[in-house]
Amino acid sequence: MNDPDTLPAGVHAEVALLPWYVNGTLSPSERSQLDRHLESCPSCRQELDELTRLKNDLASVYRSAFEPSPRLSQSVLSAVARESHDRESSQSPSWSWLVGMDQWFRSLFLPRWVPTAAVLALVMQLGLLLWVTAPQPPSDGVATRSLSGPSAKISVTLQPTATEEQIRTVLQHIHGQVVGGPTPDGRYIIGVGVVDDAAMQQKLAQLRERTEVIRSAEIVTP
Amino acid sequence: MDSRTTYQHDMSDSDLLAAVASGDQSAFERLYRLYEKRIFQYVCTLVFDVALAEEVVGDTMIAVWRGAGTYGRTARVSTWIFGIARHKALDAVRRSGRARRETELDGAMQLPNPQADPSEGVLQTEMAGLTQRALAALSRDHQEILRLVFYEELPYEDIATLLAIPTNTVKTRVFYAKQQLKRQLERLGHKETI
Repeated sequence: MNDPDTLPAGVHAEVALLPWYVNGTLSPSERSQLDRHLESCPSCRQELDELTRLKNDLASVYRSAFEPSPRLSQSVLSAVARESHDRESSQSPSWSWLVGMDQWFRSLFLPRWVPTAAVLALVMQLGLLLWVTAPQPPSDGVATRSLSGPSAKISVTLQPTATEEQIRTVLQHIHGQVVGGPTPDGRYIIGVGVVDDAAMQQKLAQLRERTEVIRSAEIVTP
Repeated sequence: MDSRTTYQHDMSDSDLLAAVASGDQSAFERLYRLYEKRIFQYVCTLVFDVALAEEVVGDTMIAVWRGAGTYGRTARVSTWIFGIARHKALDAVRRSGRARRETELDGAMQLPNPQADPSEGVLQTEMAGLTQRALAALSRDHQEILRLVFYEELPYEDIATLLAIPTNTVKTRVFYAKQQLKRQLERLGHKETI
């Protein structure tokens, strides 16, 4: 359909506004302007009469026209009730608290930092396992006060003139240390590490050689 | 009582829509009752299919429920709602490929209204029947604009907005629609000019 954009020749321009004069939506100034024109224009008054009858006829037709089925309103109103219920549920404080907790709990399992932490934990466990099972490093040579291997004890009597320095030097020489004494008769017990009897005798000889420090030395029998 | 919009009614429509925007279900139901039949009949002039028209009405009213808060008060509530309905109807026509009316609608439109006043005269009933047949012979654009002007009582500015055409085209379209209707009535043997 292609209606012309202009009214036919001979039709007053005011006719174009008459439909809205009939439906009552013209502005007051448009209406009064039309009123003045209608007073002096019989053809436009006739057009106005026809439009008024048309309006009444159309109202009669539309009022008696077909109506939608009752199912339509039931369907729409039910859908709106469901949406309304969902909105209220999502906005209720207790429910929103539960939803918040749920979201927080779920966030713990979100793949943001959990994989990283898991890898770090595995690496730490592996490192700990390797450290525990690795062979101990060799000794750093620092002397301890304990005696390694079989040990023997030698009872010595010191010269009254022996100095502390001399005594320490003798002990270092035989790798021994004072482990007991002095006894009431002035003897000290020296422990030495030896592997056999020969070594024991060697230590004893070394002590007896230092006569300026050691007055007497005897093996202590267990 | 006629549920058509008047200026005063439209003010209350605006209040109803504001209540709907705040989630008031009962306000929505009232608004629905006011518009259901009007939108349905209007959409029927666009889609020519009763079932499709009902679907469009449902979609339209759900859209009104969800979008009531977006109503900008730049036009009447009725214009806003009819605009939604028109958009959805034309979408439905494009989807379904229906371009012309079907016999289903013609038959449906002739069903008697059980609420019709039995005291109405035979002549008036005959006239309504003739007008209905004459209307059915008009183009979709002519049927649509006659309804919007004479039944929905929309201002020409609102109709121009609704149909997305210049106001001058709105005015001339009504003139030629009325001429076509008059011709159809004469063809049907109606002697009195409308």
